[in-house]
Amino acid sequence: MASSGESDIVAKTYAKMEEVEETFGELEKASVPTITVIGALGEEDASISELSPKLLTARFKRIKAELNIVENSAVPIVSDDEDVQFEIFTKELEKDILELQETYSFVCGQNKDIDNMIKKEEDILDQNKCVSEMLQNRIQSPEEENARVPDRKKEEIYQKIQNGESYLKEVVKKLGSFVDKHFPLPSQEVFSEQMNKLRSADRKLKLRDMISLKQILESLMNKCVDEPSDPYIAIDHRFWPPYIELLLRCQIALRHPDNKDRIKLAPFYL
Amino acid sequence: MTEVENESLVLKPFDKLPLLHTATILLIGSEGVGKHDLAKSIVGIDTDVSYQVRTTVRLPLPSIKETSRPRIDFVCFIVDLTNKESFNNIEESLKYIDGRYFLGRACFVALKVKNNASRCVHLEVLTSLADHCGVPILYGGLETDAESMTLARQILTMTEIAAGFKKNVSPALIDATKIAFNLL
Repeated sequence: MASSGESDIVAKTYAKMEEVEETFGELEKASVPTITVIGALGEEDASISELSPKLLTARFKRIKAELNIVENSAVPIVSDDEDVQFEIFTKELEKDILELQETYSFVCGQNKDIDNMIKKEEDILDQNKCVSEMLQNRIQSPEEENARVPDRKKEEIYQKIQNGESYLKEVVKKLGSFVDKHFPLPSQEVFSEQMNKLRSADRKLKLRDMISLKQILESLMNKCVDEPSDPYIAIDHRFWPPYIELLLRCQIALRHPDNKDRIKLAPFYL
Repeated sequence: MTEVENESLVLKPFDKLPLLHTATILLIGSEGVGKHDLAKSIVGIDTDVSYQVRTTVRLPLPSIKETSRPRIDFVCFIVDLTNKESFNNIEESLKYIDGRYFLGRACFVALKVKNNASRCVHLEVLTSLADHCGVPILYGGLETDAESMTLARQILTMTEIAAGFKKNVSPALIDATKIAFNLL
């Protein structure tokens, strides 16, 4: 083709163009027949998806022709002139040097990038190591604590229980002595006086049968703790009525809503 | 029409002298498929040699301007996948082209590939036609600048080889390597 020829020398180009025109004239004379691929579509319907055989032969011819050209064309040789060779080689060398320099700078840049990346990765690795250490510590420490904590807690709870028990004993003792001192059973005179007011049928009671306030409180409290579902105790004649009255009035004890003979300890502890 | 009556109507690759450092691309496609957008993108690319772009709706080309028309080095058949008529048009046009164009001097361009829903030209039909002609298909779109530039570059590269501007590379070589690649 003329267009692919080098255009440094005009005369050479013109010569080449003439040559091309000559060849073209020959080509026109030869009047190559057209290859119709789709024209006869009706006949080739079955093989529409395959490469047309006409095209295949054309392609074969073309490749053959190109091969022929490659085989027969002379390899371009550099001229024997020393100056020309020197010029060509220096030019090529300069081009090579330029390219190599570019490559070198590019590689340097890449090196820098890679160095930076390595630094970053190392930083990240350090951070990750720190994090993993911390996490490991955390994993280990709960195990130790878990092993220690129950004992300590148990001891604490035992201590609390003991404290509570001793406090309870003390309070019960104090209560007992207080009640003994200030709310004793009535004296014989008062008791007989009271008995005289009753009817003779009810006068069977004796002072020694009477239940003291201390005993009442004790039974109230025990019942309340032992049977929380039914904390009522039944009262009868042995209970000294003024004390019952006192307990009810101070709201220490409550009557059963349906049965006036049963009382329970007021749930002030709830 | 089973046989083309008039031989002179057929577009041939070797009936005219090539211009110096100039290659001409012919875009064939129905109205409204975006021939001129594609042509603008092709012309807009900066190259060593000059490229001309001619557009037509269908082959055969009108014989009135036959003398002023340069040699066509590369032919693009543009198919809008959402437009059935554009495909039929291409099928008709293929009757008026010399088979030598199919040896690396032509390609199909399938446009609006992304519009899957409104596609009415089946890809199988298009690929079977392309296989029959031994012609590559370029898939793309013209919606964005980047898309049309990619398409234009692809067409330019093929034209460069078809017009012989690339030293030691010919369409046959490309074809041979392509087939070798396909066999792998």
